[in-house]
Amino acid sequence: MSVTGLVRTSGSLHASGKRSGSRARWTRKTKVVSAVAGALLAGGGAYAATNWAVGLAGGSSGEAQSATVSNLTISAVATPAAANVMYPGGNGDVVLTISNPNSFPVTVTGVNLPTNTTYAAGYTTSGLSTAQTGCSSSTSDVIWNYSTTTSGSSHNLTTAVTVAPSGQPGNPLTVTLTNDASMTVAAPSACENTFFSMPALTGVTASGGAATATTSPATDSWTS
Amino acid sequence: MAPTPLAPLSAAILVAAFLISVAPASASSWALALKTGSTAEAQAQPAPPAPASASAACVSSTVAKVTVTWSAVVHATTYTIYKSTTTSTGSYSSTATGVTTTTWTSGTLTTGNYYFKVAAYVGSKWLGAQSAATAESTIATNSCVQP
Repeated sequence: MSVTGLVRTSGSLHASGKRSGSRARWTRKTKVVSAVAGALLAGGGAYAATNWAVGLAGGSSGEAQSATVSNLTISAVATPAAANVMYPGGNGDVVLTISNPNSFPVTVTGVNLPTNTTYAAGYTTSGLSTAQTGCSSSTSDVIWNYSTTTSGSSHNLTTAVTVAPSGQPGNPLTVTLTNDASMTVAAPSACENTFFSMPALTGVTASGGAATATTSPATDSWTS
Repeated sequence: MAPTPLAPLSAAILVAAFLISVAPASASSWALALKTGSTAEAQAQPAPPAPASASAACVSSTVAKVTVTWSAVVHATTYTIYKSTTTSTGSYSSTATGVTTTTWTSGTLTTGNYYFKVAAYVGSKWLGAQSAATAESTIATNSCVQP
């Protein structure tokens, strides 16, 4: 997924922490006024940055602003293969990678799930390229575990995962989510021995800043 | 130019302002909406395997009933029992469904030779392969013989 198009949900957008490049000599009065104004703006920026909603704009990158997180990407991955596979009435593991293009670590603490009637699409191979006949996103009965009738339900990861800054070890981060896919007891037989592209998450909760990157591959889950 | 009394204060405020301004990148929290199409991968198991070790035994030599037993299949919900009255490789038809244990006893059987197979359901729609046929059970009037 790509995340772009910041939408401010509270406070005012703080554009940058950079100082002006002007070398003009400031007067004492100018210095005082600027300092006070800077502090106020910075304080406002810090407040605003605590709660971002990020709009959808596929493929484009975010803005180079101090409070912007851009293009965090979640992708399906075939390796490692899920050791714990689904069956009708049972749960299975989900494997994904999270890429962080930012220059700072991003820590993901939770996810938001689609509804429990949003099914995964089935494919014949782990490459997720050839659809499995009779096991589509309309029929598979494969959902995110603990999803509800409400889209966007929030679920905390058992352990927060931190994706390293761009270009550093641990980015992308491969995560196996234990038992976070679920297949209903009435799943069609066409879904036997099938690979699934899980329904898109509706969101994640993340924070930026200094944190030790999680070693890849990692194992995590949400359990409620 | 001699420093004024306000210079240290303004410098300190500027430093503080800068530190606070970069704070969002180091201590902020975002709710992120994700692009439609973001994917993660899961996998489903193959069709249920055929139950192993299916066997038949007379309930007693004077009762025209047979008990069939087999090994459990992982994640099986129920089992279906099939019978043939021709040969072990003949045509089988379902004789019992929804069996939740790994043993099943027939009703009173009519005279003839019987062979049984078992298959597992996982969930309500995944039906596995049938087991190997049991050995022949021979039913006569009020008797059962298991060679």
